[in-house]
Amino acid sequence: MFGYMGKLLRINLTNNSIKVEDLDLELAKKFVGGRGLGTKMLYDEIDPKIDALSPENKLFFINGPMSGTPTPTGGRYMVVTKSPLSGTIASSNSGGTWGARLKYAGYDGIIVEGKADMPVYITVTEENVEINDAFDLWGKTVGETTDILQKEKKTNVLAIGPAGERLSKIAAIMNDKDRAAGRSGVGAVMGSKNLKAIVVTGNLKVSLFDEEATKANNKEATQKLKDNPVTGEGLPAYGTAVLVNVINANGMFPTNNFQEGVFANAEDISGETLAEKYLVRKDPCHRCPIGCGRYTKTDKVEGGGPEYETIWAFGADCGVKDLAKIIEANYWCNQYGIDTISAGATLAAAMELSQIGLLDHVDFEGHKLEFGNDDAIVYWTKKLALREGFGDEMADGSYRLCEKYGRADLSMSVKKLEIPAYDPRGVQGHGLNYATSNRGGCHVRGYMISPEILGLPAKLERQELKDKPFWTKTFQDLTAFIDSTGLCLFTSFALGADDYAKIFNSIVGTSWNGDDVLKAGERIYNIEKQFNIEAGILPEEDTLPERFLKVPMPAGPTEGHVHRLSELLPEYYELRGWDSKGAPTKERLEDLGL
Amino acid sequence: MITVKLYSAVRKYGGKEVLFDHKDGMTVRDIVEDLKIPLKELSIIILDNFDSTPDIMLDRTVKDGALLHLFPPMAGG
Ligand code: SF4
Repeated sequence: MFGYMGKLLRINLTNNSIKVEDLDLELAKKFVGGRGLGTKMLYDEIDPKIDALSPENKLFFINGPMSGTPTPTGGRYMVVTKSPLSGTIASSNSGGTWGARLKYAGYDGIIVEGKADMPVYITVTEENVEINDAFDLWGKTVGETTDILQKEKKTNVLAIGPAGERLSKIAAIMNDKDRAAGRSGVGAVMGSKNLKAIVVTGNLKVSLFDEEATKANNKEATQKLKDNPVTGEGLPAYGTAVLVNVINANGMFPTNNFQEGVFANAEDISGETLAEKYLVRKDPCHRCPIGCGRYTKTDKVEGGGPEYETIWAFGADCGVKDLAKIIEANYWCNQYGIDTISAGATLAAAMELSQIGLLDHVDFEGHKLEFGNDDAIVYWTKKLALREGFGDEMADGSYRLCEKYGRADLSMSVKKLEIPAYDPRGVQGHGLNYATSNRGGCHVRGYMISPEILGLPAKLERQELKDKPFWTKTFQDLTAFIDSTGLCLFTSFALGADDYAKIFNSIVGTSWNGDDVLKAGERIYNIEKQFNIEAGILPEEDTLPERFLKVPMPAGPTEGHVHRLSELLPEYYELRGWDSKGAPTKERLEDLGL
Repeated sequence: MITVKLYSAVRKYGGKEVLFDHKDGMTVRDIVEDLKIPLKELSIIILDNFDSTPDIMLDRTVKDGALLHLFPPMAGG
């Protein structure tokens, strides 16, 4: 077997059973791996209607065929499960080394089922798999847990923090201390199973179909990544936060819970300022020549991050301009295991509730949640993660918080997942992607910012509607494939569908072309949609918060614009071969082999 | 007066911000040449709230009071 290790570990925590299963190679190739294979298997194995935090839900930690190979960025894995936040399919991607290490231990993935009576952690080596008592680890931060369990160099630790233990619906799963499968509340699913950590040790190699061709392809891909000014210079020098200024200069840098699109202090929280004041070094994931990851240090904390989205969520979205405080909030998100986007956006939503007088009864413990209060973001991030005081009301994300106060419209989310750092009133295609992303408000399901703002691979006018459904669908399908391979999405700034096909072929032994890559991505997108429909996600949930559809941007370069979703959605559904309510037709599913 | 804002890698050609006196018929290209920024180092240009690539933007005339942003290739997410 090439690319794949050929084995899956199935661990049932209710009855402590551990089984090693053969990977169905045909199924694996059809759904590639990672996001695709995990979704297909989850769809086949659970009833999509189940409660995501019940023992019936399953948790897939699943690799792609390129993970653990020498392909540049080949070290990423996916967490696939049903999301407790959105009720949709959840597939959360993470870098670091843990995913590759799982392959070095001999497995393509781990499927965790049931629920342990008491806290446990799992150890996986090439020879052995054990379920261990985690009584002493429960309550510890991700950093503490990792330090205790990380016994040797060839070991990598994945863990939840206190937020996952407390079933916060925006809790993350962390690996290698500060890499996160951040979105959709996957950490709460792990917490609901009483599973604290998975420790993996291994040193095996992944077999390749054609070693020589793989070597040549990798060399070519690495060169393309190096020669490309984005992956070769911009991302390594400034990280993702280089986007702060360009998004702000376009007037779509969401400020004060998306009430405005220009943040007056953007420069203070930019990637440039981060590099100048707090950057210690780059912090690349396994086998990554790009190295967008940051390792930063302030007077108070040091560690991985923050990313662009994090800087925005705790910064502009909360009206905060103190970058050191944002780094601190990011640090606590990593330690407590919580999604930085959803956490920051939830604080911002609370600040707006507070602004309009709906939280006058709340004891803010001397740290009022109001826009611009930098002290509040650190204080309330910790409280949110620990479910203490008013933090308990915020721990399940902005939608549930705002709904409680009768203002669900103030949650800037799609399908209850908080929208990241680009106001859709400024980017029509990207807004369409938010509305149709199968996991809810997510930027990395079809990153239309790339053509609409950054001019990659070609510049599209951001307010233009023409061709946007086509581009959005194409980006979504390509992303679904990349997410299933074990490679980083950022490679797509320099590589195209044909490059991926070539790499895939030399590793797995297929003879695909770029069209096959996109078709596999489309198949994956459709099975996710099918999962959502069967989970009870309604057609009207393919939408955006009312603010974007009805309230024109008040000022700045995007002034006067709203998002024109109703003009885009019918064409998008048609291109997908879905009916007018956004459900895949029988013919489409058959055509995709579903 | 024209305000030109530079970002990340192109800051080496003039820092964060450069002010230019306005001249009749002045184009974006005049400013970029004056700053000695090699064209291949520019990716996105925003002039008075309209954003596009250098091929579209360089020959646009710059009005007095204009705000011009110059960005090198960049991405994130
Ligand atoms: S580009 Fe960044 S996120 Fe992607 S693999 Fe490299 S360091 Fe990790």
